[in-house]
Order: sequence, then structure tokens, then C-alpha cells
Amino acid sequence: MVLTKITGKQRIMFHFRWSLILSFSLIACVDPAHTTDTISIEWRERRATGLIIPTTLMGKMATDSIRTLLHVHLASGANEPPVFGEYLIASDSVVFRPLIPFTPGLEYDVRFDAGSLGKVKIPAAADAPAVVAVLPSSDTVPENLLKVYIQFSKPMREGVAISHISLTDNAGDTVPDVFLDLQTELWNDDQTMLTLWLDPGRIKRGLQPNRNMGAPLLHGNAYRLTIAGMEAMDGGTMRRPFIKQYWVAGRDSLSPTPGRWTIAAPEANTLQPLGISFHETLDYALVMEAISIRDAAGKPRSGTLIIDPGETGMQFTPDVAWGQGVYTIALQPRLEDAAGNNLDRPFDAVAASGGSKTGKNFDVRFKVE
Amino acid sequence: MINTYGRLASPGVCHSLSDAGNPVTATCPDDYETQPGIPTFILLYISKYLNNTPMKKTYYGGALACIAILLLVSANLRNDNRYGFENGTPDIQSINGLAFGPDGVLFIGDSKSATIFAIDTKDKQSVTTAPELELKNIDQKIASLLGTEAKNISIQDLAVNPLSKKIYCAVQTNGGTPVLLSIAGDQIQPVNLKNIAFSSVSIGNAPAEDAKDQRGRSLRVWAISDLAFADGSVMVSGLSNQEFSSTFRKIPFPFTDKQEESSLEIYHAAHGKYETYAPIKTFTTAVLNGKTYLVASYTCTPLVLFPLDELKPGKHVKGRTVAEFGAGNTPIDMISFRKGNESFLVMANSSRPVMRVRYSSIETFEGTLQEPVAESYGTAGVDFVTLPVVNVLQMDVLDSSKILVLQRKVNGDLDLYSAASDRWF
Repeated sequence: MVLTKITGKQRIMFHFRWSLILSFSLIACVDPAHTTDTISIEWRERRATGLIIPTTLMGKMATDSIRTLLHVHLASGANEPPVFGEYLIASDSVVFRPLIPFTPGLEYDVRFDAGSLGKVKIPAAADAPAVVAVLPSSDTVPENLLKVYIQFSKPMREGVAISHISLTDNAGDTVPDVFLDLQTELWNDDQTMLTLWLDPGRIKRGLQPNRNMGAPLLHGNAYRLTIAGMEAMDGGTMRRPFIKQYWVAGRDSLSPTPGRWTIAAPEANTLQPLGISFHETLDYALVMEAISIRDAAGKPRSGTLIIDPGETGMQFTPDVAWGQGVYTIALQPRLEDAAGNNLDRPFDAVAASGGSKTGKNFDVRFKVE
Repeated sequence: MINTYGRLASPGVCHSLSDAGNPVTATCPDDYETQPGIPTFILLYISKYLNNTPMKKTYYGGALACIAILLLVSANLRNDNRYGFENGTPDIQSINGLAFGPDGVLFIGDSKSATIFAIDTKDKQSVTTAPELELKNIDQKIASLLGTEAKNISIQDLAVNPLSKKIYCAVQTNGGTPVLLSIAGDQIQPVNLKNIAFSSVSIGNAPAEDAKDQRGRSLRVWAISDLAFADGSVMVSGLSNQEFSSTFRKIPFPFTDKQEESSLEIYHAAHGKYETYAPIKTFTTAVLNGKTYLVASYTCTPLVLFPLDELKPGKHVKGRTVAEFGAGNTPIDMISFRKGNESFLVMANSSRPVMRVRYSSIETFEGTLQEPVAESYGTAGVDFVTLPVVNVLQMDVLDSSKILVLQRKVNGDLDLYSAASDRWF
């Protein structure tokens, strides 16, 4: 063996030399910005969260002077005010962190004592955002469709969605005021899913918007939902429009009836999925949230839930093999179909005075053998 | 009253007694609460006693000093945590609503985390009048200060601190970062939200199980439509992405575990039926005939009154519809304004001018609207006056003679200015 011929001292020297080489290599690789005279961008989670400004650009200056004289401005005009943010001063660089991340596509001017140290343009991301899915994913929807969910491939900019989304009829005309214009758009946590309400005032029969403007969708017609030109948070813009075609069927004024669902029960001691067919399109988010599978003791089973195409059914695969016995498909009354009819009451129903909840139990049982 | 530190680590640093026995006051650091403390005469007495007695009475002096310290401790413990604040950095993910409470406490409605935060702005210097204000192209000014363009920001809400008359402005950016700014005269400044005194309360319906899609993304969204503080409670209305219904909560402040969620039922004259499934868009509170009411406006613009003391947990409350301001319009903001002996409700709308209603008309309006409005876009109920002011997006009471207005002008500019109440009332 070669190693047995190396003495302890030689081994120490060997490790020492390689440690030195490794250390220098690491220092050289850390961040070229700190060893050059150029301003670089600090990125965090694909956002430009800071500018790293080498102190060599400012000459020898006291920390207080740097705080007073160094400012970052939008480069679009000489009169742009300093951008709000904090300056973190280290020995070799100053990091400017703006109050909000820099905007992709815009250029910023780093000024020191009225002179420009350099301009930095924040690049937009190379990969464009895209629509991953529109729900309901079925081609046919009821005339009183209440909600549409749009899933994107990456976090999107909020506040302007409704101007990028349109619904056109057979003739190619845009259906006006079809979506409820909420001041706060309904984005999920990571801004990848948008919920749009079709104006409930137009759907609900008898309300003034319904009387004046009619229902947004009409039975027997085809519509195209177009999502175009939306921007991601990292500055990328959708390359091509996403179009989803819907055929509109009759009005659905009935609550879902779990008693009529088709249940494909799994076999005991297997990881076979439990299959449930709803025989109609249910609301995607509520299927995920308002249905749980429980054992005889009422304890929820953990597993993976996959929703069938068109949201007409689901497959639940448990993490641990099924045991023999009776299980419950526990259903919260707020489970809705695509027209907003929940298990308790149809959307169009007028609440009985004194409360809307009937207190009924809608759970369905199945046996594993 | 003298000022003492909110914390007890070094009470003598901020307030001590000079050799002559006179109290001297040092400047308190910003992150300390200014609180009422021990009456000056007690400290003066202790000081005098200690200075003028022989050594043998030192024990008594020491005992008195201990009592004084204990009093100081108890006073501070009692006062410091008056609102149950903790020091830290609140995890605010969005700012969708603002409202001021007592002593410069600002309530922040955060839709993203379905939380109401109460923060201590320490902005409690009381003034009676606010300077006149005119900030043209306020969105461009704010965008420049944030290093972006006006199209990338939206002003979510404005609130005037009733003590300092300083304006607080919530800005949502397209990138999702919430920003809180203060506006005094033409000075716009960011409000520090790091290492501050705050408390919070969750308002979302906790899902029975963690609802996430196959990619692990959360599916539940909850949006705050309005926020107000009255009668010691924060009130919040909202809309979920999952159920189209009115969620209204009354949360006592200081926050506890107690929340009063009421189901509100309105008689929808347009529908001709009672219904619960309509979200409140904007609301305010008003005292009518000696009783405090929630004055709420819905998406189809009926104006509905709910007695505040009847909003109890689990209770189903029927509102009294007193006006229909016409369909095809969405109310945007509401304020109550008092001029002389008369109080007014002022409402900004999406498709109609600003409307002014006398509360005395509402007081004398008996019963509730029951008949559907026959004429398209017709109105019914209490009398109102439309003001020659359109496209108002936000309003608040600036002082007793001015209203703060955020308005989209005909030329497309977004201006923030103070309107003299003489012109509106």
C-alpha cells in the first residue's frame, strides 16, 4: 500500500499544501464582484434584491460619507429621487438592498457625490412563464359556471391579471364584465394560481346585474378563454397566448349527490387506489380540501390524491396498505360543483331565514375486503 | 405624569433625579415605549428623604427606594403590555387594509397570511389640523422612490392617524412585496416594520387538513375587502376563493383568542329575498339614535345597517336595507364625516360619482326596503346627493375640515389631495 509508506509529518504537509490550494481556489470562486471594480447584482430566489458596489469605486471614504453620498436612482431621468433601501457597508463593498426587489428590464444608476459610478440593467428572465392548466379542465361547463382557476408555471405579477384575460363568444366578440373585478386579486401563496369569479351577480337569477346584463355564459354557445401577455415576477412575459375552449351546457341548479357516486373500493393489504367517480365536474380546490378518507376510528388516512381529468373523479392512494374494514369518505358540506352548488344548498337557492346550514351529514362509507 | 421606559432593564437611565432632587429626563431611544409611570412627587419625596436623613436611617431609605422600584416595575408591567405587544418583525405578506386604533396603533389587514397585525407606530403626537395637501401623480412619485414604474404598483389603502394627522399608505407591488409608507406634507417615507412592537391575530378559516395540490401549493386564498376599528374591536370583511359568502369578523383589541364571527343576512331588494351569500365590499360605523351600527355596502350596492351590539359569535343577524344606489356599480370606499351638528356618510363608487347621505335621513328611515327596484339602474330608500366628484378610489377623514382623497383625474393622473369639507358639505 502506498499510503503506509508516508510518514505522519509528510501526511500533515500533504494535507496542509492541498488545504492552501483549496482555500485560494475557494476565495477566487466566491464572488468575482468583490475582487473587481464593477457593480454586480445580488440575486435571491430569482429576484434582484441588491447591488454590490465595490468600495474601490468610491476611493477612501469614511462610512458616514458613504452613507450620505451614495445613492441608487432609476436611470430613466436626472431628477429621479434616491430609491428607498438600506446600505450595508463592509470593508470591500457596499450592498444596497432596495425596499422592493429591482424591476427586471429597468436600468439603475449608482451615484456617488453627484457623479455616476455606473449603471446596471436588471435582466429579465430567459424562460418565459406559461399557463400550465385552466380549471375546470373539462371542455363542457354549465351555463352558471362560477369559478375558473388558472395555474402558471412560475410566480406571476399581481394586480393586472384581469386586463390580460378575456372571454370571447362564437362571433369573436369579447364578453364584457364577465369576471368579478376584485381590488385584491385572488392569488395563492406563491402566486402561481389565480382564482377568477364569474360575476355572481350576473349568475344569480333575479339580481339586478343578472336582469340588466344577463348571464355571462349562454347555453349552446362556445367560448374561448384567452390568457395573453401576462408577466412573471422575474420579468418574463408569456410567449404565446393560452386558449381554452368551453362549450356551454344547460344550467346546473342541483347540489352534488355523493350517494350516487361510483366507488371503486381497493383490496385489503394493497396500496390500490380508492377510485371515486363524481359523474359531474366538481370544484378543483374544494375536492382537494373538503374530502378526506377516514378509518373506522375516524382517523384521517394519509396518502396521495390525484384528481381525474375534467375533475369528474379522484384517485386516493394511501401511504400505508389498506386494512380490512369500513372506511368513510368524509365530506364537508361546502364541497361544490363547478356552478357553486354545494352539498348543503344550490348556489341559486335563497337561504332560509335564521341560517343556511342544514347540519346534514354527507359522508359515504365503503368496505375494504 | 412623567415618562418612563417601557422596559425595566435600566429605568434610571431615562429618568433619574439630579443632585438637587429635580427630575431630569433623557431622550428615550426610539424602540422604547413611552408610558405613563410613577408620579414625580413620589420620586421627589424619596430623593429628599434620602438626602436629608442621617446614616442610621439608610435602611428606611433603602426600603422606600425598593418600594419605589417595585411601583415602577408594576406600573411598567401594567402599562407596557397594555396592548399585548411583542417586539420583533411581523411576517407581513401583503397589506390590503389599514385602520387606526387607539394611541397610534395601526391595524394592517394581510390577505396573503389571513392575519390582522396591530403595530405600534409610536406616532402619537396629537395635532388638531393637518396641512393642506396636493401630491399630483402620487403613483409615479411612489414608484420612483421604490425604483420601479407606476404600472407595477397599486395603492391598496390609505389611513390617516387621527392623532398626528399623518397619512399611512399601503402599496402592493407587482412582485408581491408589501410596502407601508407615511406621507407628511410632500414627504413620503417608508415605515419601518422591522424590530417593532406588534401583535397579530389569524382570521382565515383553518382548513381541516393542509390543502395543497400535487405540487405542494396552497390552494386557499382569502381576500380582505375592508377593515375598521370601532368600540374597542377591529372589524374585517372578506371573501374567500372557495365560498362566495360574506365573512365578517369582530375581533376585540387587545387581541385574544376570542373572535366574533357573525353570519349577516341582508334583504336584497333587487332579489326580493333575504340572502347571506353576498360579500361586503366596504363598511364604516356610525352612531344612530345613540346606538352604534355597522353601515355596510355590498357588491350590488344596497346600503345595510347592522346593530353592532347584536353581532355575536354564531348569531345570525338580519340587516336593515335602507338604500339601493343602483345596480351596475360597486362601492369602493366609505367614510363618516361630522360637520357642526350633522353627520354624513360619504361613499365612493366604481361607476357613479361620490354620494353623500345625511345620517339623520338614515335615522328617520323606518323599516327595510322590500320591493325590488322596478326601473333598471334605479335607486330607492334614503335620499342622497351625488357630488360632482368622480373616480375617487380612496378617502379618509384628514381633520375636522378636510377629507383626504385619492382620485383618478380625467387626464389619467392619480392625485392625492385634501378636499375642503366646505366644498363637500
